[in-house]
Amino acid sequence: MTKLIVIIPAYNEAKTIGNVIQGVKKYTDNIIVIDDGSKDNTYQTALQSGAKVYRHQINRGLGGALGTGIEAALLNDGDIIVTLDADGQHNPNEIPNLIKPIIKGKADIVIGSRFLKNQSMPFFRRLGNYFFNLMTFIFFGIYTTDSQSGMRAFNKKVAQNLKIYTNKMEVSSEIIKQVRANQFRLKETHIKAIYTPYSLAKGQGFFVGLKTLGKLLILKLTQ
Amino acid sequence: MTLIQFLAIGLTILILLKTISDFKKNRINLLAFLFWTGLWSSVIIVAALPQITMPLAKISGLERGIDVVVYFAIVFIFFLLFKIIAKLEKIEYEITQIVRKNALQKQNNRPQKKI
Repeated sequence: MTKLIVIIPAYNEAKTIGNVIQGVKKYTDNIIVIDDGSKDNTYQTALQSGAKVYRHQINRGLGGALGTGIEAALLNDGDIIVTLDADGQHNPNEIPNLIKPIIKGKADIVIGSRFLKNQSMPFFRRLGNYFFNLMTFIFFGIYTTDSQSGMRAFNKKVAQNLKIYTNKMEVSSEIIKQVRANQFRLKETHIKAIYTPYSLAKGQGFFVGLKTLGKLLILKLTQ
Repeated sequence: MTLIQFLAIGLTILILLKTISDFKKNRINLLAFLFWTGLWSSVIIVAALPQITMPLAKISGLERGIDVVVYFAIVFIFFLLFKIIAKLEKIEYEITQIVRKNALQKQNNRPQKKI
């Protein structure tokens, strides 16, 4: 029996985390939430919704939380690991589609891409995403249609070999970097992001994007 | 001697004194102490006797030797900045390691549901 574990990194997401967990429960009960030092009720809400919650004492950012999540998933003997955002922009009903290539043994890692089919997305966000795809390609040599996607699935082999050094949003590109370094088989499947004013406010804005770019440059230069 | 030379020498002497006091208080190691003392001493010498940089001017093709010194100083600052950023990143990573270890351990000590 392959064990599916869903990792949800969360920072101040008490409003949405409960719904996200309920949605995921249709597909697995193995849900790990990393409460990344939230100041609201994320921890309690996630716990009450039935997730296993690991709590960072201080906020470390997306990369830090994902790293903890992956380690926790391995400790809990996960075979297939899915990551998704806590802000509700990912539809849990897309999990079966996402993990299909892994179950069939056709891929080691699957990235849920928002751009494989046309989807309405705010213009600047689309532009920003395209820019990061390009930067990820220039720095790390792999082009994906959605390098910044938070919805992905991977098998145990990937989880064991991923070495995440970055702490923040740049982790998405870092994972792609390691796909190339470890020669994992990468596939993309289409996902439809659910944009609400809430999830839009939570994403990477212009200045966070600039910071992420700086961090990617440092990652490129120091490793 | 011009006013700017006095200012430069005065400031550098203050920095030099701070370096010495840091070393006495064991805040920096011997290697760092020697490096910074050497650097600041040469700054004082160049500030007091800018003409000694003339040979540099000849070699580099720039008009004034002091320009060569300034250019190198800028490059050195960028190098330092890069080192500091790299070090900061390393420290950030190490903090994350500690926070992660803590989170994983705490969860083990206080078992919630088994998944």
